Amino acid sequence: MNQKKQKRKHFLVSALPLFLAAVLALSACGQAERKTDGKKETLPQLQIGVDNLKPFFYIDHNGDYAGIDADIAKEACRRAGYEPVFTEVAWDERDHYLESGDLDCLWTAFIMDGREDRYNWTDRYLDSDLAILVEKNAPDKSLEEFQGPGGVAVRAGSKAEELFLKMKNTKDGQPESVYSCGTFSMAVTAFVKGYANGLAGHRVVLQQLLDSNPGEYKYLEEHWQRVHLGVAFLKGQDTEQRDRINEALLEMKADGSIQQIAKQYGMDADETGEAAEHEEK
Amino acid sequence: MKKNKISDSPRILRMAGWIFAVASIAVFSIAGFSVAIQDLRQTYRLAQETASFLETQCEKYDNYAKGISAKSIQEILDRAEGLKKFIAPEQYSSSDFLSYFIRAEHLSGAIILDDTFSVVAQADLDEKDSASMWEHVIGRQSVRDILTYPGKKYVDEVTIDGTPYQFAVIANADADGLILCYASAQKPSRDIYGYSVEQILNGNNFHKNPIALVTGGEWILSSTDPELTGMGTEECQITRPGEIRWKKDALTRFSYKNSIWYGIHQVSGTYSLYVLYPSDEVFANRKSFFVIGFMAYLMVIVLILAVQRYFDRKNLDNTRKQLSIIRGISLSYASIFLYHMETKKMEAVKLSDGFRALFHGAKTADFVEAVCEKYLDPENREKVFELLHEETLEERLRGKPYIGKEIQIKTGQWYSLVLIPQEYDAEDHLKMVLAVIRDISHIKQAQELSFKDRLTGLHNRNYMEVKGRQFLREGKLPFSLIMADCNYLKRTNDTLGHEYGDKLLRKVAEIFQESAPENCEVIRIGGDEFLILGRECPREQAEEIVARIRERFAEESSETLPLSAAFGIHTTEEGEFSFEKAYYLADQAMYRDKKGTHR
Repeated sequence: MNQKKQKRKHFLVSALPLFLAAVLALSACGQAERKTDGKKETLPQLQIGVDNLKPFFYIDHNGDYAGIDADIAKEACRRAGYEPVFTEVAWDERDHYLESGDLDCLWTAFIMDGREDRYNWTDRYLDSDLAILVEKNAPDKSLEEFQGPGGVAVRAGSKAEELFLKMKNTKDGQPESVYSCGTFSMAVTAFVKGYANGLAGHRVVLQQLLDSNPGEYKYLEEHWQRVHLGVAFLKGQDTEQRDRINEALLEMKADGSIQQIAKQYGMDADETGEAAEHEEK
Repeated sequence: MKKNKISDSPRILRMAGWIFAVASIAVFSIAGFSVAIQDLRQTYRLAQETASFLETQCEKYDNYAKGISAKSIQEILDRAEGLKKFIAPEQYSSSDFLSYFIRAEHLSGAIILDDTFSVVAQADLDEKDSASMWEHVIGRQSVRDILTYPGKKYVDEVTIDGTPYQFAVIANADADGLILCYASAQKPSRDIYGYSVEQILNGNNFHKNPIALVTGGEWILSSTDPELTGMGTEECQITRPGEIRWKKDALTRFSYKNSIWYGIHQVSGTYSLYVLYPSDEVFANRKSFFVIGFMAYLMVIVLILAVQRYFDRKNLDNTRKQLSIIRGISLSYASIFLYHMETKKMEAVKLSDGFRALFHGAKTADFVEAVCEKYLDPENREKVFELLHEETLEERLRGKPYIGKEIQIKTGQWYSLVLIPQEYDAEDHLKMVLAVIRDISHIKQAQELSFKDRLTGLHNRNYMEVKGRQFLREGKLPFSLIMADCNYLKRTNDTLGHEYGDKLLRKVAEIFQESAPENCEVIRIGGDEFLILGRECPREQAEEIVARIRERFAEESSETLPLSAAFGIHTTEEGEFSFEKAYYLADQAMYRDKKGTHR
């Protein structure tokens, strides 16, 4: 009897380590799943109209809004006490949404230059270079000489389009072709497929196409035009939202938050406004 | 002397067992936990790689679809350019021509606008009112800019009344009006290129056999599980919004089809990507680890048991051998007892028939008392009590292999009683004593025979040699040797015969025996020579003994038995005692006396 008990005891002593090890290992896996939810503060919403334009604004792998403007907007809203609500709009129809009251502001690489009187702008929070991309084997011509049957692909309603249309139009009164696409993505495809000879837009946007297709393209004009970016609110409305966002943006610019975000996404130091700040000092 | 101490081995072994068990728990837990973590990490890495592959496939498909779309738009633009080039100004307002044109050019429709953006002509394949359909687009600034900047070609996609369209707007040849051509958006056709979104996961096998899913909008576009392909995202538990709380940049654990799964969810453009692994696949290494670990553990246990069994068997063999020897040896003992010093209890290992009745049920002291009473005379009883005296037993046994006594019982038999220290405790105190009793009567008898002179009954020369060495060891001084040589033995033998010679010797021996005190022993060395050994016997006493013998000789001497002897005495009073030397000197003295007698 005793021997039996002893044997059973020995078996338990032998099996116990395995059993406990298994339990610990399994419980360890279970623990990795636990998480707690924090309380959320209720804030007034800021309806922000955005355009899918990587790296200014896009949806990342997790399905979250990401990009230079997304990050700046989130942080500015946090500081100004707003909950940002992003709504993707057809950028060509942006004014319609703003005027209808569906949106409070427009905020994706939106260029202030030439539109100063059209919107109630914040102060410029970032600079950006417009650039022109061409095929690697394209002849090195000046921008004025650059022309072709397909023309330059641009996003309809963009500053690049405006600059091109005005430039071409004033050359000799004979318009050259400008391939205006409803979306920047269409403009890129038209350029990549060879339906347009060049592609114009923000340098930091074009750089991604350049990087993902090494040896395929080159800049015709890397720093074609320096433009200022701002957040556009509807003119003639209560300026409280603009003022609070503007204050937050100025604060972020002063503490270097904006520059830091922009650099993360590949913008040059002078585009982030650092150089300009130094010059001003 | 080797002492047997209480062994700590069982306790140490038990402790070692527990330490081994606890260490095993720790090692298995840490290793199991580590392997599980590694499994999760490896699965996450594989999921990312698979998702990355899916993303590449989606991009590839997107580029393909965009290329097709761009080509379609370019074709619409080319047709608009063709219309611009070949249409005569007078045909601008001809809807019939336009209708012919759209059919010939495979367009869905076309609109001609004047410089006020009013419709001049329109045509639609489905006879729809193009002007009202496209009113919203015509109102766009991008369209209106074309009149200002005739170099602008404007292309876009738009959905009108649920139908997706692609369109192109350009200025007419005179730049005083616009041409808008449109076509319903064509989907990439697998009939032409053999490539569709459903196929992007076809023929791909992934490590650890995950379920991979690609969804776009409301449908599962492609999956490694054919059952899921084409299913609505709302119908599938995995893709239903809000059903699973997906973690960011980490594996998510969830329940699916009554089992546990791990997976990731990523967004790539307009696509959602899912890579899902069943728990069994995720923790395949952990499972293997536990199976192999358990096998190794069992092997170690079996090995330990085998080694233990080998040594146990070896020990058992040794023990059996020893027991066999002990049993053999014990046969020569009448009785064997184990005496426990602490409890003062006696344990019988072997009992003689005589002892059995006395031992049964009796206390130790009573048993000893009964044995002494039954078998021993007072003198031997004293010897036994002296040997068994408990207060001094440990001290007497210290440093000795055994102590013992030879005891003669009432029936005349001789026994040896030997005490052997058996076991000491950790403090070196005696715990157990083995008491063995052996019948030595036959030894004693043989000893008697070899030491006895058969004619006179005295001890013989053998005895002298043994005793001489014993006395030398004892060194009890003063020690006297009295040598004696009988006179007239030869003459008696010669004249009266050996019978009288023997009588003479027996008489002499008798007188010697009677004259010698207790501390003296009389020995017939041989022929007519006698020796008296006197322990603690000063010379005066030796001389007294000789004088008494002479006196007795004078009294007992007759014509037929003339009793006379020459004596030589040597006494070692002090210093080193040498038996040979004393014997020699006594012998010399005896010769001197003999010469004096015969002179």
